[in-house]
Order: sequence, then C-alpha cells, then structure tokens
Amino acid sequence: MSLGSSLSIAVQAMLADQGALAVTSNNIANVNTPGYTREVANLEEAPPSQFGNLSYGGGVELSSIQSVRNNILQLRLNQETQNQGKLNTFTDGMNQIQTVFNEDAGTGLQSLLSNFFNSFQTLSSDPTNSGDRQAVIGAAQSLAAGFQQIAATLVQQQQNADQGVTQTVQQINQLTAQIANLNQQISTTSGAGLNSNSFEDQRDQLINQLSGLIDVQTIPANGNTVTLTTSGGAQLVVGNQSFNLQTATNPSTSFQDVYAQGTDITSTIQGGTLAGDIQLRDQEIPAIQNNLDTLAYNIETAVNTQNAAGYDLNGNPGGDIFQAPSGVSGAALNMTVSITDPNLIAASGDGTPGDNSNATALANLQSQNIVNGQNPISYYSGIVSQVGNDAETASTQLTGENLLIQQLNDQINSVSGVSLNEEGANLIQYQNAYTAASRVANVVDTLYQAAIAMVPST
Amino acid sequence: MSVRVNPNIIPDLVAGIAQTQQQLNQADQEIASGRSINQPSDNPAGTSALILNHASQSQTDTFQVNVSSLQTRLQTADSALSSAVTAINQAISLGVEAGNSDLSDTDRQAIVSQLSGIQQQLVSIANTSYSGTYLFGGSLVETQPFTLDSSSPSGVTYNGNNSTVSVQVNNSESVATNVPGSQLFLNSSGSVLGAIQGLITAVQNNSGISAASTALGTAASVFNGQRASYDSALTQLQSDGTFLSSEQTQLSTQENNIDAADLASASSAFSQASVAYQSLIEAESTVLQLPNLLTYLQ
Repeated sequence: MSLGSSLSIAVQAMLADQGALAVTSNNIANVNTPGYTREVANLEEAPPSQFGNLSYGGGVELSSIQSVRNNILQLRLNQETQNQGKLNTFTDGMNQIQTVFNEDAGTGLQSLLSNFFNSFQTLSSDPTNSGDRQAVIGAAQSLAAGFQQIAATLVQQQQNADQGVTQTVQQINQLTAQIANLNQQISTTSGAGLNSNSFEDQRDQLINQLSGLIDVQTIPANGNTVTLTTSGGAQLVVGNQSFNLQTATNPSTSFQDVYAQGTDITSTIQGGTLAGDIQLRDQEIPAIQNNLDTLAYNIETAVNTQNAAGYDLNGNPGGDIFQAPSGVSGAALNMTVSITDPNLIAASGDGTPGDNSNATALANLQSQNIVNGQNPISYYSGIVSQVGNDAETASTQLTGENLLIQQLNDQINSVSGVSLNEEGANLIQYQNAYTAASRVANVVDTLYQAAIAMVPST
Repeated sequence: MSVRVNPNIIPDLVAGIAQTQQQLNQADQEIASGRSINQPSDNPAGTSALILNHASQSQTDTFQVNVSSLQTRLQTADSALSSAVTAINQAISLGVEAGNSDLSDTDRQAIVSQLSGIQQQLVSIANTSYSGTYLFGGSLVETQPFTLDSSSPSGVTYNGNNSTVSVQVNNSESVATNVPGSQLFLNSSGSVLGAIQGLITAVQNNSGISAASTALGTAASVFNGQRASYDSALTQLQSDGTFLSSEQTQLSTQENNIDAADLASASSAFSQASVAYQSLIEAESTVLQLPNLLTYLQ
C-alpha cells in the first residue's frame, strides 16, 4: 500500500469516469436517432489487494458498455409489423376497389342493371314503339359498358398489386444484403471482444423494416449473428450471406411468382406488404372477378334465351341480344351487345306485333333466380356487400394493429429510449466523480512533495 | 427501484392527432354528403339493402310511367267508343223511323244513305289509331282492323285477331289494355256492324225492318257491355297509380332510414373530434416546450 497505488486508483477512476461521460455523451447525441438503444456504463469495483492482514480496495473500473435492449419486445414488434404491413397494403387496395362499386349515390352498376331490365317493361306498354325499342338497345350497351369498366378496373388493380410484388422483392433483397453485411461486422467486432452495439441497433432497424415487407423469422446464431427465414422456412440471411428472392412470370396468370432458391414460395408468404399484394392479386380480386363474370354470364345467357323464345317485329324468332359468352371467365370484360336493329328485339310472344308477353318476360328476369339461385340485383348486392365487408374487416384489424404497435414502441422506448433527464443526472454524477478523483491526484502530488522535502539537500 | 417510463411521448401525441384528424374527416364527409354510407365498408349490410331499395324504386318509377301512358291510350280508345255509341243511337232512331209504313221509296232511300254514312263512320272509329298503332285490332296493331266489304254479310272484313294484351303495372298485377275489335263490333251475341248492315239491307228491301231494328238494339247493349271493360281498366289504373305513389313514398322513407346522415350525431362527433384535436395540439405544444435537466445545468 503506497502513495503510488492511491495515485493509480485516482487516475483509474478518472479514466473510468471519462469513459462513463463518453457513454452519456453518446446517449445524449443519439436522443433522436431512430432505433437507438441507450447504453449504460457498468462501473465495477476493481479486485482488492492484500497487505498483511489488511485488504485494500482496488478502485473502480469501467467493466463494460451495455446497450439496454429487450429482444423479446423487438421480436414481438417485428411480428406485429408483419401483420401491419400486410393489412396496410390490403386495405389500400380494397379502398381503391370500393370506389368502383359506388352504390351510395345510386350511380353504380345497379342503376344500369335496373335501367336495362326496366327498358323492357316500358317497351311492354307499346311493343311496336321504335323509340322504346332503341332505348332497350341503348340500355343494353350502357350495361355492357358498365360491366367492362368494372372488370377493367379490377384487372388494373391486379396489375398494380403485381408491380407491388416485383418492387417489394427488390426492396427485400436490398435489405437482406445489408443485414448480411451487418452480421459480418457484428461477428467480427464481437469476436474481437469489442462493442457492437451500434451495428446491432442498425440491424434491428433493418429487420423491422424487412418485417413490414415479408414474414421474417429471426433466429439467433453463432457469433452474435442472426439467421433470417420466412415463416415458411425459406432462407433469407445466414451469417454474412444473403439469399435473393426471385420473381418469375407464371405462364397461366402472367403474374409474378416469388421464388426462393428455385422453390415457388408465393402461396406461403404470410406477412408484410408482399403478403398483402399477393392476397389482393391471387385471392381477393379473382374472387370478385369470378362473381362479376358469373353475373354477366348468366344475365347474357338468360336474356338471349328469353329473346329467342319470342318473336321480333318481322315475325321471326328472336336472336341474340348479347354476344354469346364463351364461358363464365371473362364474361364481364368481354360483354358486348350484338343486336343493332331495334326491330329484332323479340317483344312478342306469339308473332303478332302488338303482343308484349315476351317483353314482359324479359323485364321480369330481374326478379327471377337466374344467377346461381339468386336474382341478378340480389346477387350483385351480395358482391358489393362482400367487398365492403372485406374492406371493413381489414380496416378494423389495421386500426387495432396500429394501436398494438404504438404500445409496443412505448414499451421498447421505456426500456431503451434515452431520457435527457436521466442522462443529465448521470452527467453531473460522473463530472463530480471525475473532479473528486482529480482532487485526490492533486493531494497525492502534494504528499509526494512533502515526502521529498523531508530529505535534506546537501 | 421505480419503473422506467417512455421518455419520449411525442410520437404517441402525433399518432393521436392523426387519429382525431381522421375522425374529423369522417364526420365532415357524412355532414357534407348528407349520407351515412359513403362507401360499402361504411356499412356493408346497409349498402346491400340500399342497392335493393334503389332497384325497387327504379322499377316502381317505370310502372308509374307505364300506368300514365296506358291511361292516355285507354282514354283515347274510350272516347272513340263514346262517339261510336252516339252514332249507333242515331242508327237506332233511323231504324225506328224506317219502320213507319208511311214512308216513300225516296224517304227510305234517304234513310239508307244516312245509315251507310253511319256505317262508314263506325268503321272509321273502329280503325282508330294512337301513337302509330291500331286500338281495336287485337294484337295485330299494325294492320287496319276493318275494311268495307260489300260481299260480307256484316259489310266488313275483320283483319285483326281476338287477342287481349295485358301490361304489368306492379309486381303482381297486370291490366288488360284492349278489347278486340271482333268482340266489340262483331260480337256473336250482338254484332253492331252486322246489325247496321242488316238494317241497311232491310230498309233497302223494305222487309224485316222491325226485326233488324231489334237486332240493332240488342247489339247496342252488347257493345256497351264490352265497352265497359275500358272504363273498369281505367279505374284499375287509377288505383294502381295511387298504390304505386304510396309505394314510392315507403321506399323513399326506407332509403332514408338506411342511408341518411344522422346530422345530430355527426355534428356532435365532429365537435368532439375538434375538441380532442385542440387538446392534443395544446398538449403536444406543451410537451415540446418542457425543459429537461440539461436545460438547467450551467
């Protein structure tokens, strides 16, 4: 036990406090950095030394700089971010699709359907009236145009979702490359026993971004790296290597399928923007299209059949009013009126020009169960309410998800967020300790002087 | 050791402001449009009901227009038949006059002349057309129903048919819109045109005038009986029109119940959101200006 050891304890303390001050300064500097987890300087008592039967403490040392992060919360946040990403994209798509079924003002497809069938009703009160006959053709053309427009919009939405798939895959590949890089840096730094906190912060941020795009599972691996896969098991990042996703055109749909190392994983993607776009493109929109096609197909077929059961103004059996659809698929997009001569509308039931029974029958198709057991208006209202339901459900879930993520972020911040008050207090503490230690050094120096002064000069 | 709390609540305040903004927009949209349903997701079941309601209204409107145009057509027919009754009554008077045995050949010839005039008038009435179609030819509306035919015992050939045309006036009801000319003017129980021709022949030959007059009288009441169908059709159309009007009112009310904006609650939602918005803005501004320890450290 010597003056020297007291001095060295004081100096060591100054170094430790200096280090702690640096940590505090770093925290304060990063108070607004997104994803930054605050660091804590761990000061520990240095091992004591024994002199005779007395044990003297060894002072303080800065044993480690620890970042205060909660990995469990981060994992949960990433999970919810996947749901949010999917719901966000899906809800956006549904809201755009809804605009094409704008029935609230009564100017959507329902009014075209009603006008078409009712035009036969008007004709039935004056079957030879050329104006009424022309009006039937006009209403048929408007109806066909209405179906075509909705069908075309749905195709457009599908294409938008498809482009979204391509773009998202590109973004995913960029992120996984960056994450693999960070894995390398973290592994190297940790391996050398150094602090890899800021790399880990960056990696957490990137994984969270990735979660918004795809359903990524995080598995801790050697050397403080992480392995990332999709929940279906496709590899995304292993150590310092990233595995790109690829897109390839599906020959039957002409849309992009997503491949991971040669395997088609399109239908296994469950979260993130990618899942939202795929759900819109491959499930939701095709279902709406199929229902719309079913409606168009059955209307065209029933109207043509009924027209053929009657007689036109020339006394001949009626022909097709609509171009006969080749099948259900595409019936809406291709709906065309083939009749141009108003005289060919078969209003008569018995061939006489004044008979209207077939016109009445044509009008009444609107209340007959000609579309899969439902009448056309009822079937259409089912399509629209289904769209509304799907949009509303997703929107409600999204609101809940947003709230959940907000809460998780609050929790994470309460653990890892920088509090300027806390850092301010630490600043004072370390400053005082540093000052006190330097005082000690000062005193020891004085004592040295006194000891030296004891030896007389010759 | 106390629990550490989230040191940065600004993001939460910002999110809160965004949410109240959305509530403001939603209430505003409802007030501005006057409708509670502005897209299907606002109320999917309501949207479905609205579609069905709109379709019913559209159909009811069409029925009403049909009722209107039918009323005009039937009134035209009925007024033509009314002139026919006048003419037939004139013929009956002439028949009585012709039965007077004091008449000279010349007098009888004059009566025949007048009766022929009435016959032509009746044929002309029977050939009445409206809006380009013949009213009394059954369903052969583009063919002139009656042509004068001296070789025929009734003096005419009927070119129409015996069909009645019905028009639907609501979901469960149709109205017959014509009586075939054959039933009106050539009825087997009493043919007006046949009886006129018969009277003409009788007066010309000065034989069987009394029988011919009686036949004409019978035919006239048969005619009136047939004509009554138009009257009852018009009455039915009148009540159909009233029924459709009240149905239209009901449908409008139903539409309102489904879709009308509840202005009171939308306004109050708007006010509440405004107040919340205001409070959040103030809170955020206060929080942003709160000092921290570092501010005080010199």
